[in-house]
Amino acid sequence: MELAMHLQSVSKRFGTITAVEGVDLKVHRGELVGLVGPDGAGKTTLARLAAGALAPTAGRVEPESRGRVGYLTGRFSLYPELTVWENLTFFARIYGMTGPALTAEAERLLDWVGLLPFKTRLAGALSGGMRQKLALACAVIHQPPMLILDEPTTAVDPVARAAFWNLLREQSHRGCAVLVTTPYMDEAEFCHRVGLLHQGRVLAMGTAAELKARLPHRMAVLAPAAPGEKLRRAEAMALAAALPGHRWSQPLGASVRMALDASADLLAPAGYTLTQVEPSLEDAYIWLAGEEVRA
Amino acid sequence: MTNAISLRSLTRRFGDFTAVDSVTFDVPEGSVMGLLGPNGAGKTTLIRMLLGLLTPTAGEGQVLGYDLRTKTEAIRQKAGYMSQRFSLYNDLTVEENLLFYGRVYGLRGAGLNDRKDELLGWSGLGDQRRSPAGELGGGLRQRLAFACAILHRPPLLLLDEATSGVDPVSRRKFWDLIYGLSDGGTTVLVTTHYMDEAEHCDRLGMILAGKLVALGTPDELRHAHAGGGSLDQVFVNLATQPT
Repeated sequence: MELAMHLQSVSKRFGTITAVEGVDLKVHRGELVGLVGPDGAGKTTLARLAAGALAPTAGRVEPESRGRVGYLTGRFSLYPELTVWENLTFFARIYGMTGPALTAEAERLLDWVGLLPFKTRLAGALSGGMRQKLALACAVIHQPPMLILDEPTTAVDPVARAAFWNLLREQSHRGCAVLVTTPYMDEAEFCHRVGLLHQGRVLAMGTAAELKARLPHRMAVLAPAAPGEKLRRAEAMALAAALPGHRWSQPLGASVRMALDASADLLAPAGYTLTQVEPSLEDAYIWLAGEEVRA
Repeated sequence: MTNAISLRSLTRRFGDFTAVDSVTFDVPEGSVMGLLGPNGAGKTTLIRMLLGLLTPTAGEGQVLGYDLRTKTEAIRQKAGYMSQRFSLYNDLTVEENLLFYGRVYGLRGAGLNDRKDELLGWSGLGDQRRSPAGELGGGLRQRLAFACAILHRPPLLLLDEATSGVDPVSRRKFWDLIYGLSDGGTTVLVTTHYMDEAEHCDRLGMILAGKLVALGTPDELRHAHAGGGSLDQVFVNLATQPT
């Protein structure tokens, strides 16, 4: 696969604060790569470094000249007082498109993101999900070989999020290299590869399944055996802690989610059920972040 | 069981836009209720009515036994509130922030000092007591804001998009604190657009375009609306079903 972007040991400091530290990251043509992490993990700084909008304090970003990157942020500035059509053609003209070619491409993109029926609607009157689709159309109208999106789905509802990720997949299918940051762990499933970002560092990189497989524990849920029974949290937490091979446990609504040694048997205490569950990416994240601390 | 919140057909219009559309639900004392929905669904408008900051256009509601149309002052004194954009004073220390908010709530002298020390221990911020709030990381800031919101021991706590946005480890600690209060009898109402946050609640209300479209425990919703699938799927199914 052809390499579209390569970050080599990239760090960025702002005064005494290290926002990004020693990050190595490759994005290939046709690849959809996600960077998942909470607020303050360095997502936005990394996106700006990758887009060439910030210079690294140390390390290298290649290629250096990147006039043809599409860039979109969660706080993307559409013009609310312009219509959908006017916003899109405005960006097209910035990129030097004119005449029938512009009209044809703008029509095609609006159709692609499903906004053709809303051509004459003011951007300010669009829902969050529709706004992000229009922003995506604006970001790809010059057919960039690389697309960088910083939290494009934050605060967008799940229906619109799923639709937006489908559009990103289509961009990668046409050969575009796509780098996306997100605070939603579950969105890792939409990416070819995912980097887990924690305090400015990439904890681990791989497919969602590979990252989950790095968790050396088995995950289980402890719940009252009687359906609908309210969880007695203190009692359930004490029982969980006493189970053989217990690593950690956390109340979660009407049950207790817990990690056990991989070799531990699942022995349900009287009055409870203990069921093995699939590890989540969050379980893996917490384990890997803890590894970092222990190392 | 007594209800801390009891709403009947609560409605709020802004001009010809209905932000909250005939919402009815009860929240039993000591439970954790989640309101789930995308931005703009009406969650914050609903919270503002619960706090007496907005008058309903129609419908009735009681909060801690007080009518939310007429007893707004009593409600505001007894409810704790924290939003995602919680305001801490960055140049004041952790301790000074707690003392400041304590005085705002009318606490004084030894009572305030004891409560401050109690909350420093409770929130795990003892070691940072003399650090400026502006130097705290996201998870610690969130816990400080939480401690400030419960200084006056409110029996009802409204958390508006306040539980998300921090790293998973901090978030788990935050929920430990919420469960601790709930076990002590505090009623907690949280709003969120993160489906995995919703898993923490005893009961959930799903809000779409101002309407309460589903109400139940997370398990009940999963089984009723997604064949046992994820809450994300519940949301997608409810949002795309013909009305």
